[in-house]
Amino acid sequence: METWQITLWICAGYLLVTLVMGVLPGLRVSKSIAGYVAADRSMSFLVMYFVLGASIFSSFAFLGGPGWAYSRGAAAYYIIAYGVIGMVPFYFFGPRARRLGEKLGFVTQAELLAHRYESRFLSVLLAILSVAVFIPYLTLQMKGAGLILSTITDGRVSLEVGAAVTYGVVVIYVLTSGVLGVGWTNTFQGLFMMVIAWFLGLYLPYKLYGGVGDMFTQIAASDHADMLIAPGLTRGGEPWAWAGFSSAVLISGIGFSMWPHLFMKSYAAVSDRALRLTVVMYPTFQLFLVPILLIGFSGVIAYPGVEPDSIVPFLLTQVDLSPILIGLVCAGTLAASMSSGDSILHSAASIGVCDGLAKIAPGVFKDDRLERLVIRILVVVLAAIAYYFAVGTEVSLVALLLGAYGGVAQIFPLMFAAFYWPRATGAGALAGLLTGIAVNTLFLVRPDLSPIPGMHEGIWGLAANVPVFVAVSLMTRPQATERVRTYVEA
Amino acid sequence: MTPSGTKHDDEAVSSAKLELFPPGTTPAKRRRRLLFLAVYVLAAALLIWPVYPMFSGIKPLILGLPLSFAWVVFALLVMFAALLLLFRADERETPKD
Repeated sequence: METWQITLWICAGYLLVTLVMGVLPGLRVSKSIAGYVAADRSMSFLVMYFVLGASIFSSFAFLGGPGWAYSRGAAAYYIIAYGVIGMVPFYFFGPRARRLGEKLGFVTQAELLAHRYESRFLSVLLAILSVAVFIPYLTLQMKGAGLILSTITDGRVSLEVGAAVTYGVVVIYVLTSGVLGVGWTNTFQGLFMMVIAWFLGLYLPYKLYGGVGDMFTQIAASDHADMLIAPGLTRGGEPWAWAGFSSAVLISGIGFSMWPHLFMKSYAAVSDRALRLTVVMYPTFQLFLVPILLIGFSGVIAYPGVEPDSIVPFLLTQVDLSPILIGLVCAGTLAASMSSGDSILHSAASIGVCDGLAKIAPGVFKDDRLERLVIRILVVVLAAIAYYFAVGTEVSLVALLLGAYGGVAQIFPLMFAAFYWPRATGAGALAGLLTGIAVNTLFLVRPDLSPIPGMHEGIWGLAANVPVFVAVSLMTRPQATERVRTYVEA
Repeated sequence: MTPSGTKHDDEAVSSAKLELFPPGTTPAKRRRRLLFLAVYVLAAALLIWPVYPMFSGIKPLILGLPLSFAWVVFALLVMFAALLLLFRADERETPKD
């Protein structure tokens, strides 16, 4: 059998295992919305750990991370740096959200905010924003899966077919099992990725340079030395400004715990303890980004001039690995794509229905069966839209996604105030959020207007968001005491 | 920024204060949380200007990693240790969930 055939068989085997693991748990979850969206609030620490952990192991981390290290050097540390601060707020917000969810029946982030701020409009606004951000995110994951399959098989499996088959599997288990399918497959995929990442990250530097230290010594002695000095290089190869690096770390860190698909997992946790322990153990997952970046660095001296995004598949075809190993790495990369893609797809559909449609047309979704059906239809529709973009467009989605962090970070003040600032009002929250998003978008589109060159647009968004939020809140009537106390004392 | 948290009347809503702790939080827990907050801010500071630039060079290599890389891993470990300590202390206070 030829190398590409063995590789393909291993990937097929992996997909089959994933499919079974994804479909089985759906057979025992309840048929309610809380079952489909929040796993009947039953997720243990182990599953939570992998669900949240897998979120960083997206296509972006597996393909984009090494690509950054390869082309921009120390700039790639940004990916580790923001995670250090990003998950921590969840230690405090998560358990409060979980208890409120149990008490008041929430399954999404917007439900909580809309209830606290007594604003249905806020819910719909967040739903539209979430779905708008999730589609490019999902597209990126699909493209990653298609790309790896087509590169490894030398184009025998096209990007279109690769993306269609992998996401066909995802759609099936998301449809049957909802969030539980996401949970169990992510556990499997997470373990798999960890092993692959450490193996490749240590093996490649060893094979090409004699060790990790030797690799960096050689890069430091070459004319690429500058890339190792933080904060590394920009995409154009110029030194990145500290203002750019620092603000990107801060904004992504602030935005991280606010991603709607991450935040809503707090409702799926079985207990506060499981949720807290997940946050505490999260850094152990993050350590796996270290070998991921080493993979990228290993290409710098040995293989200059490769397109950064395809450095991982490129290395695989260059280095003399056994076909079985290549197959496993290929499957690991698919796992990275699918474990993020499934969660995003499931969340986007759930949010679109629970926070969007159900709020625009209240009264239509009287029973859970109908609501669940519509979520499932939306799963298919959203997957189809993302697929259309994945195979049909050449837009730089990574840039789009990184831009989204600025928007997501604008939710942070609302969440913080919901729990810690009783005086916050719905009018203030809406005014702050809209202002923040408007300013963020302005500087995203026109970075040349930024007072400090290179500063992340999300910083300006927050700088406008918070004062407007506070001022409008103080000018409007306080919310009903009882409701506010529920949150402050949660 | 004055944390308060024992009032239960309308004033608690109409005053513009932050309530960082729910009512009934023990002083020990408050101290612990504030201490953790300080470590958290410190860890964030390690990763941005102006602290990180002091450790942004290549040499010395630490466990094979350039200083600039090892520094980020160090910040990650600091945060991990702080979270572990906080969790253990929180656990001891509320043995059941």
